[in-house]
Amino acid sequence: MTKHLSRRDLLLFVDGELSLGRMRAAHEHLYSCWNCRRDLEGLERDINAIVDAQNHHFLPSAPGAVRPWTSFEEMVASLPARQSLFGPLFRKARRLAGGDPFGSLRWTVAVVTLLCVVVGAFWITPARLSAAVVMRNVLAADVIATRTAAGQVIRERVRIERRDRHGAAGKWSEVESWKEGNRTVWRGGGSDLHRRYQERQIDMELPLAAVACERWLRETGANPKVSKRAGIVELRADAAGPDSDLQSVSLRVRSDIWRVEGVRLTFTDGIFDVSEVDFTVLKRDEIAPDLLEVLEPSALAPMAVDAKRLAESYRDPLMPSVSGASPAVNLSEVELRIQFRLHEMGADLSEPIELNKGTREIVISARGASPERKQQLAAAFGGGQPFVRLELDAGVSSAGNLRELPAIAASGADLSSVPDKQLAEFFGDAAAQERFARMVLEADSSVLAHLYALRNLAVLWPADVEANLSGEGRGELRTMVEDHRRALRTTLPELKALLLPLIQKFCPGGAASSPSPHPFRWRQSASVLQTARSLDRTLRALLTTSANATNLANSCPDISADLLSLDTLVSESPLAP
Amino acid sequence: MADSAWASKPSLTERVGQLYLAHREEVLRFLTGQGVPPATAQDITQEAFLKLLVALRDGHHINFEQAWLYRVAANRAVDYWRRERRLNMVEFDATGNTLSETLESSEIGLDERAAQEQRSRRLADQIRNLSKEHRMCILLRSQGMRYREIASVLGVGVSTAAEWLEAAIERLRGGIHD
Repeated sequence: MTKHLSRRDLLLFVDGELSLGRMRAAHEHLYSCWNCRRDLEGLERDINAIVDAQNHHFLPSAPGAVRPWTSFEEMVASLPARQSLFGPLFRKARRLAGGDPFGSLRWTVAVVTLLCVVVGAFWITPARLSAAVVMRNVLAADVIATRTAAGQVIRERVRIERRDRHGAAGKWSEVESWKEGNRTVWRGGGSDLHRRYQERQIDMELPLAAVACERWLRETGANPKVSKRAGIVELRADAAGPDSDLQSVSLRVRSDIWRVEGVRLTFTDGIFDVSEVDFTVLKRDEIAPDLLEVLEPSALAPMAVDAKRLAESYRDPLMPSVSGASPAVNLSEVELRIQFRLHEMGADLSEPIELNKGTREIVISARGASPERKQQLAAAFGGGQPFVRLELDAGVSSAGNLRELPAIAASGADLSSVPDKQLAEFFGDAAAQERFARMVLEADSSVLAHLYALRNLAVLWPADVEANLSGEGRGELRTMVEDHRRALRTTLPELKALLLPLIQKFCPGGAASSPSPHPFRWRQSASVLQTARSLDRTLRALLTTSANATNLANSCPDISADLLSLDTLVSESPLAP
Repeated sequence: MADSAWASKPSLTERVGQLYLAHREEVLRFLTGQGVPPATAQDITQEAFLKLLVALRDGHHINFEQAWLYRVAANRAVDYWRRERRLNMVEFDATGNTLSETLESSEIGLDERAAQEQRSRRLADQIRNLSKEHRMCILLRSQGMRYREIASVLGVGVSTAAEWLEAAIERLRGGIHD
């Protein structure tokens, strides 16, 4: 048995005002409850009596009309004429349409359609996007997508379709490319395209890397045009002059994630359509050993320094023999060889590895290195290499040499509670601000690491020492310098892309100017390093909780000036000693 | 097409004209039942229908046209009472015309009919003595209005309208069973 119905419920039930559920419950209850059913019948009876009394006695007793009713038409005629601001316009529209402008369905449909077209046209208008904005977004997204931890390798699989401009049918092939640190490997049928990447020195990038795409656009020497269609933004640049074999570049970018989906490169002798098939971050142990050997040559193969060859090729005529039996050995050459191996392993960037040049040997001290790195070093330099001694265990602290090991990792910084109000308003929420700070400091750390490496090369192998190196040694030194410079040309635009929105908002005009081409004097990279360290200090003071905290208003001009200075120093200028 | 035709949109005018013919007496008696003098009630009634036409013509969206009419009429009645300070000071005609009609059409016994008639008159008196709000609730409900429509006319919430209606019925039922 359910609960009895209240008087209110009974009235609501009679009037049909109960909710559906309560109506059903009331029905069920009334079906089984005599008392409530009797109350219900009593209520209905009384309501009938009330209605009767009202209709038969109350309302008839109320006075009726005391004069004839005015006809409705007369009443309407007495209404004052309508005065509307839009009246004449409406009437004109009606005359033009031959009917009622708003009463007809076709007019409503026409107005709605027009609105949709206007809104749609506004929404997709390319004028809202500039090529610079698109590329900045693409670069920033690429920084995030390609951020890997130690021991991770990026694999990008692309489909390359090559069409002959003279009517030959298209051929397509698939290329797999891997990237770890500064080393990139392409494998597959895209050798012709790879050659063109090599010619422009962008072969160290993945085929569809943002930096590579930006480089291709710049190669045309023209301002790209932007168009947007169905979630795809297209950047197209047609080569300005006939000097280059490159005629046009067209990028397809997904506007929701700002990722390059594909690129079309039109050369005088063919068209390459490159589209992404797959982009994955893999662990080292998922990579085939032969590939790993190419990516990390020192990881698997020992240094294999042939003592005899070394003695012969690195013999320093100016250096006295260190022992009667041994030939005179140019230890600077040995140190360079070791440095080059470290560079190939990616171990020359901010890692606690020191080279100490003694009188008889080079001591590699890597006590603070990670276990994985120690393993690689042992494989590369262990096993009684001549003129090389490896120290991996904790013990006597080495005196250290000119290699500076700065603590420039971004991860240790406290990014959680930066108090700057303008920053907080700019990002909207703390998580976004923290994410931005992390990305900026990572890019900044990378710039610093390459500049420190360059500075060390300059200090360890000054011009007079370089002159005494063998041809092979000089070549390796130049390779390392060029690698770091290329890396800077990748990381610096990334850092700039990240900081540009802030600069444009808070100190407009800054860092917008193009760098003026100066020769890149790598031996004077100490001054560049000073600028980078100044930028690093400012960024850390702004973005992390530090004792020297600053605010955006004060730091923005410094950031802008330092960025411009760095951009100038590491620009597309020729390499100079 | 002439401008005057646009000023009085035929279909709309016709529709409100039909409403006027069908409901003007009800609205009038609703007003006179609330104590508004017949001449004033007639003016208010006509004005309410004209207002409805103007509102519809101006593009206002009106869900319940009948409820809207009663609401305008009730508001004007309240204005009248405020102006005349004659709240609930109404004298009703006590007509007996319906008694003979009822007797002729009914087949029940004369005594019983007389008793019913007596009860009905007494009930009508009780309706007159209800408070203005309660009386309006009863009148509007008997016009077939849903609670939300009554609430809309009276300018109150649906639960308040339901509460007033329940109170009015309970009071009238007390009179029926005395």
